[in-house]
Amino acid sequence: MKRILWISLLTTALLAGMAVAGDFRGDAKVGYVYLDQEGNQAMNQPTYNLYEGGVLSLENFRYTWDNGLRLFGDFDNVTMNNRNMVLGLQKSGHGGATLRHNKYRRVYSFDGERYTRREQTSGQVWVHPMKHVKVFGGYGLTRKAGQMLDLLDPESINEVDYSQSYYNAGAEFTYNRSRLEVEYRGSSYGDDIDELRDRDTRRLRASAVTPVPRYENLLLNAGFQNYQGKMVNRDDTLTANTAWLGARWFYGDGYTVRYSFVIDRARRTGDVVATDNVVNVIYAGKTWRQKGGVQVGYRYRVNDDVFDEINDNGYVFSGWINATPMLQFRAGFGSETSEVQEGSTLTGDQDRTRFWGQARYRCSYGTLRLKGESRKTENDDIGTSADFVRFGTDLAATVEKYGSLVASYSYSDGEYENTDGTFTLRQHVFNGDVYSIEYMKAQIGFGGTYVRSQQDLDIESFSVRMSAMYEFMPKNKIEVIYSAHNFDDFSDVVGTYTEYYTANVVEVNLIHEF
Amino acid sequence: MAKTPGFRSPAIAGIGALLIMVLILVSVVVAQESQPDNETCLMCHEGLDASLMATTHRLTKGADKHGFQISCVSCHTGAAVHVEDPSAENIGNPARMTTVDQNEICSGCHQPHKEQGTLGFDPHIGQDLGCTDCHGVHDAGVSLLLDDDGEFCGQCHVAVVSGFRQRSNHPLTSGNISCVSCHDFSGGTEPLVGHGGSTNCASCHQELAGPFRFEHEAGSSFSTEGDGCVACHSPHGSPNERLLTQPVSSLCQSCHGTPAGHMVAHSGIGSAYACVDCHNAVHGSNDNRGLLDPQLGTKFGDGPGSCYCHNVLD
Repeated sequence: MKRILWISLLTTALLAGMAVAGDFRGDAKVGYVYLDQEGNQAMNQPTYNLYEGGVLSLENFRYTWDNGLRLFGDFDNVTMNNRNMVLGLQKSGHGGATLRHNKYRRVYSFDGERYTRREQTSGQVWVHPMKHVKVFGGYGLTRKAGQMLDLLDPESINEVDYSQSYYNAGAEFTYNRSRLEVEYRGSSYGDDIDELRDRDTRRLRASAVTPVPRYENLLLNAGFQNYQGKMVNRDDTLTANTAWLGARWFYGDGYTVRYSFVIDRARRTGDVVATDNVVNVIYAGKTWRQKGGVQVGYRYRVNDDVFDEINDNGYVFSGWINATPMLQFRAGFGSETSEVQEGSTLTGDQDRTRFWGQARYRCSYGTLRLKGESRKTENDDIGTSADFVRFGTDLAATVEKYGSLVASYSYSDGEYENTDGTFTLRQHVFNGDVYSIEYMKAQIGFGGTYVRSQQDLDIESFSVRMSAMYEFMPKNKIEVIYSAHNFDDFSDVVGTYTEYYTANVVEVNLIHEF
Repeated sequence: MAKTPGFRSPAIAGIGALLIMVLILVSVVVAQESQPDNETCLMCHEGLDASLMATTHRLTKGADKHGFQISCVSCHTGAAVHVEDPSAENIGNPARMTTVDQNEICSGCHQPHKEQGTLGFDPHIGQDLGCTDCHGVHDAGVSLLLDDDGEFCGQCHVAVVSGFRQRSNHPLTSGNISCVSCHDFSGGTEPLVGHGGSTNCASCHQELAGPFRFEHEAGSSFSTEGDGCVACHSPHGSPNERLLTQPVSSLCQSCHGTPAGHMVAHSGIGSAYACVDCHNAVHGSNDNRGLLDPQLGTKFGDGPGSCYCHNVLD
């Protein structure tokens, strides 16, 4: 409550400041949300953070001083429990500070009484004491508390109550296209339910990128990171050291070659040996300016401890072509094979393949895209496979005389097979919004979302949105938004058909544009 | 250590990294040519400076004591010729340039993601996308992104954004998180994800991160058995509860099948009961190797620590 009061006071002060100062931009919004809902509140995620009550927002706020100092802020729903806020002060080339606050919940029970709420507050500060040097640091606090219900047993309640803080400090040195960054980041996790989970982490990271003097087309990249996760109340620590090297070479006429090497060695307290992850990646590409391009890549990865060793070999081919100034095609194919070279693992050898393709048509009215992809994963040793296909299309169009339209549709089909059975899924997702142009100082909009999951699942959910806005005085508007939500899980696994939800929401806002 | 080919020592790699960092200290200074000042540009392009006022590219009045300066010619090349012969053809506009040329200009002040992204599989690099495909300059927002919500990324990643509209999802469409909450465009060691997928997830879900006394190896991206959190979870969204890629028992069975003895002794576990009814410590356990619920005896059996035939706390 105290925090809400502070936030409201801060917002009011900003609004008052704007009223007398005059050199600013932003939208102040005062409104009310009416919420009428029925059914299982845990079912419909889009309404988890809707609350009935007053709303106060200050959006896209900007204030600039003559000396180049800039204050900006976005305060969404400061009086609600789904607050999402940012406040910043910056001066280019000198430094800045940003404060963020975010709060939202996840509902677990039919009546909405069992939920967890996550609250995050963080701040970052940076200064440039010299032209080529940036020093930065910050602190953040995340708190999550509440009650979760067991995934399959709605009578079983799991308490959640923890807080996690992090801090970081570092410096960045830049010179022309060269950059060196060193950062230390630590975190502390404290669990009020089970102190055995308490955990501290620290990470020291240094990374650099630079072109080679006199060979500016050759860019080198390197870094090192030491990570340690330590359980506070028991002797258990995970340490990982990672180093990486990379190079990119631009050869004239659109040729590019990239190479990367990453090595990671991780060890836990009590481990006899460490686990190594080693990755080598090489890419080669050719671009014909504004006409097209092709790229070929190869990745070799080794994951190894003294008992097991797994080698991955992956390939990727992709390309794009502008068939006409308005029509573009992109396509690609990737494949990776994991083989157990030594020892044995539970999942054994694995093959993964992926195809994708996209066509884009762009004209003065807007853009139309068609996209498709196919993914397949097979673990022959244990008789498991996943086969997934997805197609999507979207349209964004604006007709100056009438208004704008954004619409998308996605179809997916998946088959997951193992030795005990098969899970199949077919899904359709529609989403779209239409907005008119402003006519007689009024503007209207209409939109909706429809999701249908079929085969081994049987879920249908949809929402419909309608909005109207009217400018009743210069820079003052009234906005009314009506939305309806519906969710049904017809498969009724529990047998008591409790997996349904419906809601009607009306939002009324008064907006003043500064 | 088991023998594997290649460059295996972090110490050697670290020395290599150090050598490259040292190269920065000897990099070359690029000479600057004389250019027209802002006032000259604004004589014809009146008001364009206002569109930069609230952004990080706000024009400065000359250089400050650090030598920091932002002027029209910082981004628009060829201005000297353009002043003599004003034409849309002879002034450089990054938004209309090819990716390579655009990067050259932006990297004069910024370290573009493309330059940092020499590692991993960043697909944006191979797709010839330039800075201005995602960033604006005039009238842009604070982060200079053309828009900073999921809808913007969704213009290209249509199918991905549709995932966030499924039954369970990360709260992107409600604005509580954004794509960059998880995807790091600043050159992480994994493709577009900060150091290791699971470490990235743990930045918010530390309670599930471990290390545990008894790990579920599938969830550890460091081990030879694991793929990290994404072995079981679909991070954008899923038609199943809790972002699971399949309904819970089907998911367990995809690696474990129905282990010997379960079907007979428990009258059809795998169909009558879900795996997590007993093995509920799926992320890892501090109590027992079987990741069993320490309260299992109380739940189903004949007292704490015991579930008929099994000592749960083994």
